[in-house]
Amino acid sequence: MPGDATSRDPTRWVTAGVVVAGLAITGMLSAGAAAINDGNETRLLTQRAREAATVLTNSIATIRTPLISAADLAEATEAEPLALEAQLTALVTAGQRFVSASIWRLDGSSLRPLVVAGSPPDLATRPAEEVRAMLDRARSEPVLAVFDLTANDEPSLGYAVVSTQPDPTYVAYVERVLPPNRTAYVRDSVAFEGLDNAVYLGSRAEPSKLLTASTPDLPLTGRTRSETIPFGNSQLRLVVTAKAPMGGALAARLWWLLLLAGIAVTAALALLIDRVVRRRTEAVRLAAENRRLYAQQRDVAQTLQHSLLPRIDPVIGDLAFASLYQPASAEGVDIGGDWYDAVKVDDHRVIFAVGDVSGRGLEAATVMASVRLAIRAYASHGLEPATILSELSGVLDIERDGHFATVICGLVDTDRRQVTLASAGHPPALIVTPDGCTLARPIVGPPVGLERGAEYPSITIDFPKDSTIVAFTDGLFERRGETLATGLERVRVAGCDLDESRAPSLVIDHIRSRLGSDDTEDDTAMLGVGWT
Amino acid sequence: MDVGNDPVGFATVDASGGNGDDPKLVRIVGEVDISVVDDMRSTVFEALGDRGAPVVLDLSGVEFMDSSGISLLLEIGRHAGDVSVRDASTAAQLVIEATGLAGWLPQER
Repeated sequence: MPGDATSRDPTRWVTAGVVVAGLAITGMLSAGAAAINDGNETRLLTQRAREAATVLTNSIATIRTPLISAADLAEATEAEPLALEAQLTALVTAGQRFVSASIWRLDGSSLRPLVVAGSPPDLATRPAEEVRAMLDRARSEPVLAVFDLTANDEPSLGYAVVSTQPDPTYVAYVERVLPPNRTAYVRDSVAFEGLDNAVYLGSRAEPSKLLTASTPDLPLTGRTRSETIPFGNSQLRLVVTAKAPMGGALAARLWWLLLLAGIAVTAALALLIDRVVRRRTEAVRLAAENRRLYAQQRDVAQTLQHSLLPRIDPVIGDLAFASLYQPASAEGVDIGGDWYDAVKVDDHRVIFAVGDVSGRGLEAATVMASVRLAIRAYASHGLEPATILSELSGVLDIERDGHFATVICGLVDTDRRQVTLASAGHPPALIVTPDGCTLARPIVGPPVGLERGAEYPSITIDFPKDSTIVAFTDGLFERRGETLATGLERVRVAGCDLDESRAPSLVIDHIRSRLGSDDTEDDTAMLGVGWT
Repeated sequence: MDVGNDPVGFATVDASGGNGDDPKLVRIVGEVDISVVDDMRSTVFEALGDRGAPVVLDLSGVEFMDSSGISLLLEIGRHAGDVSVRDASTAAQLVIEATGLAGWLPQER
């Protein structure tokens, strides 16, 4: 069907548009939420990393302070072992951080420790130049000298501090073993709460230089922040990552919640729009189809009706004929049941009839056909108009058929030059003669179909040469808002002002041009009978 | 009961009668043609109900009537079985006479 492509495509385009727009909006919202969350997380993590770095920086003081005390005491007692032992032992007792504490001469005159507490210092097993390098560094580093012993079998760090007094003689030295796997150490500080962290010696996060970490899963991945902290003569690299979204789980999930909700809403909207558009398209299509079918039906009905109407010979014997059928022009009006007919009885007689079956539509048209054919049959048997009408009540019965008919039936006798007329509820006929126009009014009997065996009076009037009689249906003259008499008078006048010829075709054309309006609500049938 | 959107013609049915032998009164008013006759038909037959109850037609308000109006009167007559005309305007009377229905639609006695 040609309508299919055009009726389906708009639906698809609208739906596709809605889906694209919905997904685009969803994507933007979701991406926006994700970007905002990302920015927030990064900002929060940066902030937390700085706090952690500050805490870590402060913790350096906790290493330095006891060492300074030991160095000061060494200066004051000139490295008196008895005086220092208690101080150094306190540094290596269980629960403390250090495994070895010792006092050395700063000038390098002896490369052995003067006093030792805890394990022997690993430094003491090192070559002399390493020991000297330690002493040099301790002298030049005012805060804390750090020694990288991470390459040892037991990875350690060494710290050395000299007294703050001028020209110090001694250096206090401790060693600290890093925790097993370097992960056991958990920093007990709110600064590290919710964070995974790793601390490396030096300015880079080298795995071999790892000092402590809160998790064995290293290196830390995902969103990480790093801070570099001065650590005596060295540096510490702090790397942190958040264990859980810092802005809260909802903020972190918001982007995909928006995505899911957006897709769901888009899908629902698309379905809805699709249905609405489809229904509308369907309704439009059906309306068009209905119009087309109606027009088609009307065309079929009119074609049928035309086929049910006879083609009247223009000349039968001495008589000339002209006919007209004009359907109602108003929209929505079914075909009517108007008709005309003329039948030759013998050489000098012709029966003609014009009628109108009540109601409209195909049924009325078929009833019309049966009545018309019945008249033909009666006419060919030589029945008179009044008898024909009376006999028709056997053909049509309103109780049975639901229709009745008005008929005017005439017999033209060319020998006598007379017309005999009978009417079953039908409007009068117009007779146009050289002397003027008159309405021929037989006494009207009841419409056909109401009463079995109804009797019809007839009138016989002169039908001189050069005259025409015109029978018609009520569509010709019935106009809303005026009386029957007014309408009929208009017909009479319209047929009256012909100057020369009164040939039936001319009379009918003339009447139609005078009375035919474009917006008649009823069908009109007209038959004119005149002399050749 | 006023029915029919078109104000030019409408029908009313007074159903107060019709319980026993009292006829129902059908009043037809205005211009009666094919454009209003369908509305009138449904109004009237809805109000009349069962077949066979006698009907009196009041046609005093008819200003114009065409063949479709005549058709309606005949349908009402068929439905009622016994129909009479109480009062017909000139327009209605002329149409009834012109269509040979005077015998079918008698004046009320």
